[in-house]
Amino acid sequence: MPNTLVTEAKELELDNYGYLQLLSDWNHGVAEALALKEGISLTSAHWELINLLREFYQQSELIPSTRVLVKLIAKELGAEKGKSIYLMSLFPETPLKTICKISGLPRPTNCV
Amino acid sequence: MNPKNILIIIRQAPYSSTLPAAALDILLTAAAFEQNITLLFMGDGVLHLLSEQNATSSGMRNISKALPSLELYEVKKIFLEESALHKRKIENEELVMPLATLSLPEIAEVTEKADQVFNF
Amino acid sequence: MILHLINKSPAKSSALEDCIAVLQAKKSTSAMMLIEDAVYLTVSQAGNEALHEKIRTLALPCYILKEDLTIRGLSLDLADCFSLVDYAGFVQLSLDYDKVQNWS
Repeated sequence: MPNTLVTEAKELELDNYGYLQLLSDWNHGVAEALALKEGISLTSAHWELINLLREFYQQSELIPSTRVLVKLIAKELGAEKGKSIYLMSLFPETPLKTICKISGLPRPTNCV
Repeated sequence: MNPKNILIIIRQAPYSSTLPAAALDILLTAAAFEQNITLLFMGDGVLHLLSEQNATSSGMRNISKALPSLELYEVKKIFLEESALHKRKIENEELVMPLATLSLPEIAEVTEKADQVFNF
Repeated sequence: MILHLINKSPAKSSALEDCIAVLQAKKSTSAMMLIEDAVYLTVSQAGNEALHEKIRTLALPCYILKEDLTIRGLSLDLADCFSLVDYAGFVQLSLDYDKVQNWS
């Protein structure tokens, strides 16, 4: 193995809504950058939800609705966090769209 | 508005058409509207349940991956036709998750009880 | 009381056989309505005649859309297990039965 250093100086394409064009471009640094564009500085509480959502998507290939995401959070992280208000507090305004964007998932297209 | 009894039947094998994926879309939409949903795999439809599928290169949807998560969508009635596994020499262990079976008379009954049947 | 709608040729699709299997399993007052390529079932040939016999045994109505026979140049002189209906009749049937179930 050559001794190399990889730095994060790469331009990634986004779609018209600000979602990654290539979902495989996603990594932790990209998530931080996407979050900053939304005015969010990621904390461990954010990461807990991002990791949960990504795991759900990888297993099921489904993008949950807000309601299903809240239920998933309740099931995996407990009832205390499984409330839409908790999700809203971390990803304000449009929580599902924002968390999907930061997590490197496709844009949710369903209205519910 | 009272929820309707919606029966979704998948009879077509995976990857030959987009109909089974459409069936899943209908299911998710109906679930979002809190309908009373039953999902049934009949005939070649049971081939969707095999756990060793890898659809990555096809660009098509692998329905089996969604099944274990459907409980979060309040879809809890998922069945397969009783004789369909045996006819295809498929063992229960090869399935992505264990499912309850329905005999043909039971299938006739759930069909009659459904307000709306989507048969793919 | 279900009107089972079938539109695929029995040679190409299991739709008709799947439908018959369900109808055989439980007594009902349902009926079958065959349209598009499903009307090829009316042609007298070995594979079809076994299905004709199954339909006779079911003793449930099996309607055939006349227009779909005509455009395919098929005979309107049907075996005794079938009844001929035109588009208006098809519409009436879909109103008479509680539900229409499509077997795609």
